[in-house]
Amino acid sequence: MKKLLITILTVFSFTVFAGDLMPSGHNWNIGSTNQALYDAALAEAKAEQKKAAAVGFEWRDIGKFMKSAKKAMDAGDWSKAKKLLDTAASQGRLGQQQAIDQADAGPISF
Amino acid sequence: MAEQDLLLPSLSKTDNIKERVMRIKIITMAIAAMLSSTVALSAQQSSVVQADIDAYQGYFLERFPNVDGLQGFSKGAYAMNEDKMMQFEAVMEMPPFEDLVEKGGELWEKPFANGNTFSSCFEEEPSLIRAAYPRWNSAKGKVDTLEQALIDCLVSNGEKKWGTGKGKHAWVAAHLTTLGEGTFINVIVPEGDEAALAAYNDGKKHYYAKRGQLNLSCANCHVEGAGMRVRGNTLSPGLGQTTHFPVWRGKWARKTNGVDGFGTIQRRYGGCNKQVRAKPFKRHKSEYDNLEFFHTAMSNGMEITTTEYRE
Repeated sequence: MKKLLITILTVFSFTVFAGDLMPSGHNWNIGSTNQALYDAALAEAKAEQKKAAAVGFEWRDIGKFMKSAKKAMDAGDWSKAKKLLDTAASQGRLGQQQAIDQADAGPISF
Repeated sequence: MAEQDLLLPSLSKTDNIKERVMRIKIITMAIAAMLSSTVALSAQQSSVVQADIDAYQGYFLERFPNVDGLQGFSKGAYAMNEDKMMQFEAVMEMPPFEDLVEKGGELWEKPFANGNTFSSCFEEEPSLIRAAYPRWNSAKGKVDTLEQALIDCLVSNGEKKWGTGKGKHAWVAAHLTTLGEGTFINVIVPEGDEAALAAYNDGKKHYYAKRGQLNLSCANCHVEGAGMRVRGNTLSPGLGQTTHFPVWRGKWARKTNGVDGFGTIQRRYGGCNKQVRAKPFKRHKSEYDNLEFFHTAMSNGMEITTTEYRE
């Protein structure tokens, strides 16, 4: 009986301390928050990709970055997924800029 | 300064080069004049386009005086490296693609379900078909390419479309290139046809625009970089690249365990775009059709040399 009481108290104390160790601002819905952030980042990357494609200067690997981001997200690695989606969006914007820079492309002096 | 002056900076460096350029121009003009008296040339070449062709060809002739005249450029990077040329000639003694060209010939002759054959879709006799493309279709307001004409022919005869760029599509095109050996490239952008000139300029812009993550244009590699090395490879000159497509590439053959290395020019365009990390365009849409129009026009006056091996 004494052993059982000690065990129950020990488990209870761990539970209380564990709760105290979490930051006060901790979001217990972290999974769904990351999913929302992922969805937003993916939408942005897709929008930039579409704009680059519309002007004929889409870069090759944007789609690959998005696929890799999905894999990372499925594996629970939001940080990696975000990095990949940021790269995809950035390459979309660079493609658009390239289209502007190359608007007057033609033969040059050698 | 005019564009052609920028491309052709100092032809007065040696009289020899000047003479060579002049000789080539005279030959080209003679060929064009000869063709104009036949059926191939029904419209006058745009003066803007002719100036581009003269500047483009003049640039290569001046920069590579050791290449054997205009036609020498049809051998691409091999024309700039004696060892590579020997390897090329050794491969071409017994080309690994002869059986596929024969299969292309069989497909050309094989009747469709309705009894027609491919030849029913073309006005020209087979040996003249390759050099007749790409060409401006004023009725449709677009560039027609041979490879698209083959697909259109299948569809108009109630056959299923083939996959493009390789396989059967490339074999039939290679058969026609082989038959066309000795005919001359003669792309005409009709003088005064604004839509044709716009398509040509669209292709020209693609050729000179840097694209992809590597920020390189077709011209960066095949005009400025021609003859230079990229890792173990020598970059081929843009001039003459359209004289021998479809080509049988060792690289493509390796993907099929050596069985089929054939690919059309538009398959190659896609590969080039990928290599600079740009997303390739779909084959036989305006982007690559217009590029092929411009790219082929730059080799006007050169002979079709039959389908060839490339690395």
